Amino acid sequence: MQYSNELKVGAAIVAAALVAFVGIRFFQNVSLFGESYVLYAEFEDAGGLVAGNAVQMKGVKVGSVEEVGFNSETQSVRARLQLERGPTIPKGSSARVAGISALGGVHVKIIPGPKDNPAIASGSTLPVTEEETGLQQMTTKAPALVEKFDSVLTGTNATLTGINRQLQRPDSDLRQTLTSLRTLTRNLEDASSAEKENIQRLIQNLEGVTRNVESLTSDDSLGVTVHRLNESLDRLNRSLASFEETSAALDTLTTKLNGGEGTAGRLINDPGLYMKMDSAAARTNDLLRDFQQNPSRYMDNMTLVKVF
Amino acid sequence: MIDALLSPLRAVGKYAILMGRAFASVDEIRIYWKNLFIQMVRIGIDSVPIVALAAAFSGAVLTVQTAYQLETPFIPKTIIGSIVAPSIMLELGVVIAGFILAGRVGARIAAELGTMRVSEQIDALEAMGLNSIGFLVLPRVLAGLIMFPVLYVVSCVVGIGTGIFTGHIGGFLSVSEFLKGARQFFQLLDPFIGFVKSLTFGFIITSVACYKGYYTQSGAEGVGDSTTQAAVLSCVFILVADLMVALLLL
Repeated sequence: MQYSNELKVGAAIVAAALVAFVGIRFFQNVSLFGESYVLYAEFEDAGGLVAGNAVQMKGVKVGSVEEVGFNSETQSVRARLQLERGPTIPKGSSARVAGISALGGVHVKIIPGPKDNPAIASGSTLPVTEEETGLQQMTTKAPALVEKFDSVLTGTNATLTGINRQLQRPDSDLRQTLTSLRTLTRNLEDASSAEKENIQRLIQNLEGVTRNVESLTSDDSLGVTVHRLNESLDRLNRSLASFEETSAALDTLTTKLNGGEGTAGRLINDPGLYMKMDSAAARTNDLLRDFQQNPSRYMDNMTLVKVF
Repeated sequence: MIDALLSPLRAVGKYAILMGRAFASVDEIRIYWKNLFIQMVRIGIDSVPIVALAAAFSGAVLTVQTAYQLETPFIPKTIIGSIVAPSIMLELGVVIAGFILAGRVGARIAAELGTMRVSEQIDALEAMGLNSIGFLVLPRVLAGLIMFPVLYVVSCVVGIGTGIFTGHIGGFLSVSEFLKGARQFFQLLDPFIGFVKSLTFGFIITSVACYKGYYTQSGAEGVGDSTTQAAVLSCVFILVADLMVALLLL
């Protein structure tokens, strides 16, 4: 079937107009057909809000910002909000700008009022709860932060200057400490390098000792030793017992001796015996002296050499 | 020397008079009604496939390259959609279509009218008492003005559609991300500027081609010259007009 040129052109133009209309409504984020629900909100600060931004209620998208304009009478930003018909916005609801504009996430947030209230009529203005957006919060807090940061920096600077001054003075404690620390480190280094072999040997020996102890504890030899030691101690114990007996006997003997009992005791304790012995010795002495002086007296009857 | 300086001015004047005479015969359009629809089909509807093809490739390339340039974790992927859709509406959809139509439509009109001129068909029309400008020039220029916005819509729909498709198939961003980004920064001014540009380019291409074709001189070689000049001048004027519209409306 051959279509006339008029039909072709007419169809093309109508189709293009329809597509353009639907496309623009689609990109404007407006419900395609049927009248929609319009509310206004007047903000002190748009905070990056532009036409096309979403309108959210409890995080759910319920419409879009159609137009953002400046109201010179009240010196505020007047936003026209195009809302879907579905969710009702009860009286007592309020709006505010939320999100950070740098990330493209600025939207109008509607805080719904009590659910039993009747819906707000289309074309009325929503009350606004001004709350600082993320960026505004940052800007208001920034000066205090900067001040604090500044004071911290000043403190750091002073400390660094002090350290620097200390370091530059050759007789300062810090410098001397550093010097001695350096010497100490060098000494320690020297020592460790010089004694490296010894330390190694020491460690080896220690290892051997550990191994021996280990084998000792693991074998029976320790048990045997302990057993033997036990026996020895037993024997020692017995020896000590007999020694005790001996000493007791000695004790009685000494007591007896002291008491002058028996011959030995009398010998020790009676001074008469000594006297007698002394006088006997003195007399013997006299006799011997006399014998030396007058041998003849005693030799009379003695013939030394009996030859005849 | 002075003649070299004056000839462009003379050309502008000749062009203005031609257009003036064409639009002065608007009230006679009922007589050339049939002619107008023939031109609308030839200029507009027959150009839909080539415009759609060009738009498809430009939309796909734009999406891929924007995604490549924005490969930063700090930029949300939706921004790709926010860049591609307005770019096509504002610039690519209409300018690429304009260049293609300068070749396709401009050359066709210039060759057609040029041949009619050198074979003295225009003189014959005049001898028959017909208003040759009203009969030949006005339907073509009107067809350009009416059909170029239609082609612009085709170009935008196909360009953005292939952009979304390429982003999804290539794994750059999902369809919903693209649409979210495109909606986020959408302004009614974007398609309006595109529409104004399409009207401007439609007028430039058809009128320049009619002017070059209508005043063709000296035989077959002249037809070739006017065809070439029609295509080249249309492209140059499209570039200039593109900037002018952007400066005036943005």
